[in-house]
Amino acid sequence: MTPEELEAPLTAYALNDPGLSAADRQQIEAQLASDPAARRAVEETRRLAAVLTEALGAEQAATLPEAIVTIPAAKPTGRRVAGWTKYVVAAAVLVATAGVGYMGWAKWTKPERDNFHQVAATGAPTDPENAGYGDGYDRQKAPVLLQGDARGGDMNGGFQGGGAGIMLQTPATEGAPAPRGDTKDSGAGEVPRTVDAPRGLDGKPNKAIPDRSDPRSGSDSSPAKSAPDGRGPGFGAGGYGPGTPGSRVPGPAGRSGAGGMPGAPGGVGGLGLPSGSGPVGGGTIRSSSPAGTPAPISGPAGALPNDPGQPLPAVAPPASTPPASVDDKEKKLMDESEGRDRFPQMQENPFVRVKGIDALSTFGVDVDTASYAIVRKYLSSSQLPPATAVRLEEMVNYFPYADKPPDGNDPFAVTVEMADCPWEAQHRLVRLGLKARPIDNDKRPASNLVFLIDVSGSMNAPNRLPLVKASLKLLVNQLGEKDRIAMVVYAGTTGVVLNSTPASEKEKILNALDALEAGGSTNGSGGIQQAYEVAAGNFVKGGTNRVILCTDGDWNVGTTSTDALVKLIEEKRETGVFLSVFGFGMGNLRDEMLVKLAGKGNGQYGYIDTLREANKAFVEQMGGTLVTVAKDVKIQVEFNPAVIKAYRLLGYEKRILAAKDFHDDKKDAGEMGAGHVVTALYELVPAGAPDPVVGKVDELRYQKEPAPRPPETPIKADEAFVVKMRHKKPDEDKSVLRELPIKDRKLDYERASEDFQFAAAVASFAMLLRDSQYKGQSNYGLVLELAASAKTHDPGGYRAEFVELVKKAKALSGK
Amino acid sequence: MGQDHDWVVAAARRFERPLLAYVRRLLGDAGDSHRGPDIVQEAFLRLCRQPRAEVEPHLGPWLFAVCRRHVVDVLRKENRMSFLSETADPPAARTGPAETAEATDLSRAVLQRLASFPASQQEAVRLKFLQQFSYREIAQVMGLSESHVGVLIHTALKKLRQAFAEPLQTTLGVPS
Repeated sequence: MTPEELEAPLTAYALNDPGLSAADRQQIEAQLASDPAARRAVEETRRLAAVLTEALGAEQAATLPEAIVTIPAAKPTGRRVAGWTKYVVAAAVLVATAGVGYMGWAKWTKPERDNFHQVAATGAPTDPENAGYGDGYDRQKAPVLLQGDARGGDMNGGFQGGGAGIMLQTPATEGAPAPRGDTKDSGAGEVPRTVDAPRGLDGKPNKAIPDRSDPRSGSDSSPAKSAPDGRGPGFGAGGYGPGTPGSRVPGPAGRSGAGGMPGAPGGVGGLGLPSGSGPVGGGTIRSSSPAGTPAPISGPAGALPNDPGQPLPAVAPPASTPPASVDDKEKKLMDESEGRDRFPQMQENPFVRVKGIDALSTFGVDVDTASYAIVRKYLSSSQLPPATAVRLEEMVNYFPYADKPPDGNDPFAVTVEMADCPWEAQHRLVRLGLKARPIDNDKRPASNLVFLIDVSGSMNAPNRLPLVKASLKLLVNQLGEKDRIAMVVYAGTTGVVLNSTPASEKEKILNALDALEAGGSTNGSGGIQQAYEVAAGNFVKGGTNRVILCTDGDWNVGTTSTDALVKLIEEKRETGVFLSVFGFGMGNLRDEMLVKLAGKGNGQYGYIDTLREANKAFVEQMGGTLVTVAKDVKIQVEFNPAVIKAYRLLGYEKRILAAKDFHDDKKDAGEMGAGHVVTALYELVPAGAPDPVVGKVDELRYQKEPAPRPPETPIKADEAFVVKMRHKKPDEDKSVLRELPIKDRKLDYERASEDFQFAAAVASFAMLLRDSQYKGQSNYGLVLELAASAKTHDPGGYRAEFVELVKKAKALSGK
Repeated sequence: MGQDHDWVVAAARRFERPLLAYVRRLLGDAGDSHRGPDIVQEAFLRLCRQPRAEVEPHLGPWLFAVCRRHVVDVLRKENRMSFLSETADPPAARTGPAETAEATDLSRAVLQRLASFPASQQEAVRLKFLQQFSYREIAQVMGLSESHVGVLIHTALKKLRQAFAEPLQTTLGVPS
């Protein structure tokens, strides 16, 4: 072995490489204990790693070439969609139909079938029999088939093949902008428009605008609904989007478990990747090949130098992999490959028709703000955040709002405002604002805090442990003699570094903080156990008992099953010890886990990227961080179909509850801390406005709609909706109900409050960052306009900072 | 459609620019050639044809590996494989100790030094610190063993550590 080979594991250790074996790790830790030179090497490597990460990032940001495949941001509401779109839609429907198997297939008329078959035979490099008959299980083939169409397709649109080929070749010759698979209002006469995909969330029935009791929508039979944990994205057949033929039969997902095989081919259209298209008028493709000249790779897959059918060893396992368990599935759904930060995949809430039980929208409040700070971190390092890092409600709730605090004994007050929706002229936007009673620092109940601090090797970066120390010092400086602080660290070993100490002994606490050093690997669960023990040992009745976890979430040793941790946290919550979580650092942040832990621990989840953010969480909003004024706060809104046709809750996907959970006091929901403001936004489609997403669905052959009954007399026709709220006092188990009926006063957007306008701006921004299909007319210019007029009330300057971030995102996205 | 292609769109948003930078560096293109964009576009086209559930857990490494194989093909045709070989040192200017001391910006000096290392070491280091890939992921991209990647990264970092021992001592504790 060369010296390099011998020493290489030390570098791997310093870089926290997950591939390092436990034996190697142990050996290195032993070596580190006795060898100062090795310790220095590890330390220097880590510093060098930080320098390199920054230097290479800056270099790349400076030299990054112009984007080649720009994805359009502001997207067509359909009024000016180029003609080619229908072919894209055709392609998508074609493939989706192929994906749902024989039943969808059997529906077609013969000529179409022949055509289809022929196309497959001429174009697709795969077995034509298989491809042509749309093997419902084999997604890999469907796309190949699509690709193959490039040669064999004709231009009749509809189901007659060709879609993909046209998509790949037509835009350049037509001078049309790059295709993006926006299927709404595509204008493709014979192509059924897509129905918005119903999605399962938390195991609850999918909600799509086609009403759920209608068998035609197919959503009831969607397998997504039965995904046990609901995090499965529910791409069942019905849930899968391209409506009609497909949505009547269970899709492949129904057979393999919890969905999760979305139609890649749709992506072809959606991406707009015609290699053959050159720079086109107003186009979004900036390929350097001259207009109209087919680029070298525009041909069918078979012409490529690398056989696309040949999977990469270890990277792309064969399609025959057995369906993963739900747990694995959940893990797979995380964007593990986006850097090493992991964000949960969250499907946006769809529009829901106000009919039957669907008139009820139920969710738990949420005071997390981490997503905004994470987005800011990405943007300030000149990267657009991954869509999965964008959680709309956390972005909206990041900002202070001027809502009035409650009078009397209520723990929170409610403000409801309704005005025009700025990104969809015919819709209305509702802002629900809940403001919790603030608390003066001297009236705050006594507290018993345990800082649980991750000091593993990965925390050894300037924006991690040093920032944790500085942040906690801010908090300690706010506390007084009735508060007690203990400190538990966890890494390779766990230990109490400071027994519960009155906060008046500041010197002692600050010294203990200063003495923390990062090193070793992480055993998160051991640390949490110990922190809870310390908290229980110093329990203050009627006071604040809270573990405050500071970590980059890199749990890599020990029992790190999220489920086990969640169980522990839930148990402790019942004893009155709550958990708040603060994430630090980027690169291996386990965002999805931290969200979950704080949610189950009755605490908040914040992301601290700067000392300024720490100041916000620990000084400005200390009351909210430490003192819970209401727990299990649930909101249920019932819409009146006489006034409102459909609604969409913006964000809160992670907090959606079933209608029946509203009155169930055993169902956990969100907490509000003193002074917290929670904002929820609804986009409403007034009765009489066009449907937002419903596509054309064929008449049912076997079920006839009942003859239209004379319209029922509308009940309380002047009310648009009623807001119902439930909450519990922090130390009680029974909830209190409040109701608030709301009328639409037809307020213009311009006359809405600044808080309303600003929340709308943030929501619009979040939808842009997610490239949401619901973003309507949103664009960065609009967001800037909306925010600019809503900055009068800006304590802390957060709104001004928001405007800067929007400008940055605008520049980065090139729009 | 709707959701079903979002993941590819998201992948393109996130990776196309890093991929293009990576491909251009491998090709040695100054940025005026169409080959880089073509190769990256091709990778995304190919991604569209993959089952999401299989590719997504290794999305980044998958995309980089596809691009890299394509680059290797191009270079092979042009008989330029030496560009990727481990032994050939590109004729980059070596930075002397005096020059290093003068460099006020540690980042710039480190990058300059890195540019004098063999191409494979540079590539591994960039995949590690730009993409934050694990050794295993880098091994998948570069078609090497994990331990080989470990040696590449170790060798590069060791040389850098030795060259910049002093400035590195003072970098910790600077808040970002």
